[in-house]
Amino acid sequence: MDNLFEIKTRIVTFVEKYETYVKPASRFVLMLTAYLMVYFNISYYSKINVIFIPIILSVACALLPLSLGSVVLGLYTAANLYGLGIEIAGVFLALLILTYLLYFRFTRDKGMLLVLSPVANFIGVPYALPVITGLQYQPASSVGVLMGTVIFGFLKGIKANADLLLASEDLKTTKLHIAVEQIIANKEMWLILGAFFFTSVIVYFIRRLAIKNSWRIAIVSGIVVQLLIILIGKLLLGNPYGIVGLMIGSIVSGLICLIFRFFAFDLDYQRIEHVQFEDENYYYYVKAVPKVLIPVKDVKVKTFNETKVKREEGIEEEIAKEFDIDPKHLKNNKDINE
Amino acid sequence: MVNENKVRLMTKLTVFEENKGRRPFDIGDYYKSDFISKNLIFGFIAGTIAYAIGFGFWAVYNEEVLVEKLLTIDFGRIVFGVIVGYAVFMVLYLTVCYLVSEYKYRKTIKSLKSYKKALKKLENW
Repeated sequence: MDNLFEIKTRIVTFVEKYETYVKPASRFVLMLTAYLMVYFNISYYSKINVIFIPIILSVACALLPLSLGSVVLGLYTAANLYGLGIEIAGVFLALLILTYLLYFRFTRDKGMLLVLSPVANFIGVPYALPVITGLQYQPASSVGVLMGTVIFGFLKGIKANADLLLASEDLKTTKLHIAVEQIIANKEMWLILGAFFFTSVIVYFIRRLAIKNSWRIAIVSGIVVQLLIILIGKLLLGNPYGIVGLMIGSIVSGLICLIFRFFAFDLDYQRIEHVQFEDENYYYYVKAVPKVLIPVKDVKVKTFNETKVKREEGIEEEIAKEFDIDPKHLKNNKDINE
Repeated sequence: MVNENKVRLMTKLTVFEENKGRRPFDIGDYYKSDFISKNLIFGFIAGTIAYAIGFGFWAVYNEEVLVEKLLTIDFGRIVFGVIVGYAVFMVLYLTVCYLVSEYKYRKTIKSLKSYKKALKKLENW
């Protein structure tokens, strides 16, 4: 366990030290995954079907705030959907506008969840996100995850009906109907949305309880409750397919949450701050380093039992001295009692 | 000689300014009631557009049923349903807007008070 903590400290120290590079690099990896996901799955518009476009956009988005990056990603996706018809792109844009009107008005800094959610859905581990949201933020933040899930559900439905949409070239109303159907009539998606929101609320309240291991209990409860809701819902909907995937996804998500807990619990990720200011006498160039991290080499393990034994021995000697008896006699009695 | 305590105080103030940017000061310029009213007005516009989009989706999906009902049942009943739905949605959405903006204002004013206190201490150094 000590080794794990040492590794954790090393990783956190590394991230803190090279934050200037690590942050854009991680943003680039996330955005590139999302762009390539769109490129390889729904690139229906031949004019922008060039691999350089998603790569260049990923680099650009790595340098932008994630909220703005998610807007650019949304526009790129809409442009790709335009290949299937203006109606499909229009419905997708309406969905994006809905997201921004209802959600980003309140939490502009959680754009990451909106991008991360479809990516996690695509990889097959979306069940970790509602739990992590409940652990890290307030339940309202799960709306970002929910909207990401809606967008993923919509794109998945469009991909499944792509041939039909391309065939019905002249029927605008049919296309519009098929596009809206992917949102409204997708009962399984609504089931997952309900399960995700309920999970975030449960995890949020359990991790705030003043009990031992509240984070661990919150993770396990969240994953189990989520699994049960989706499982029962699937059976009620008469769609038992994908249960094995659901089980595996839940187990992997649980492990991801435990790894997240290991890094995030009881750790204040304050940044190293580089600030400049001046007073009447000096110019100051200050590097403020947060105190939260213990240097790896200076870690000392103190065994509390030793202290307790020594303290008990001291007490025995004091008692023996006070009552003028042999301390060994007291020790013998203790052995008998044990 | 550099005064360490003064440097600490100045560092804290600069970190606050750089991390939070102009936003807390912008919010601090408003009276509470004005800030909440502004958010409610924007909320009203955003909520109306969102309801229109949601209704549009619903109408497209139920297109056939809707056309059939428009022909058979009286038009007023459908309009009444739409208005009631809009009213319920707006009440819920504006309540969320009110609670969020009230919380945001309270939190920002609290952090601004600490900032101003530290700033005053620096001025009287």
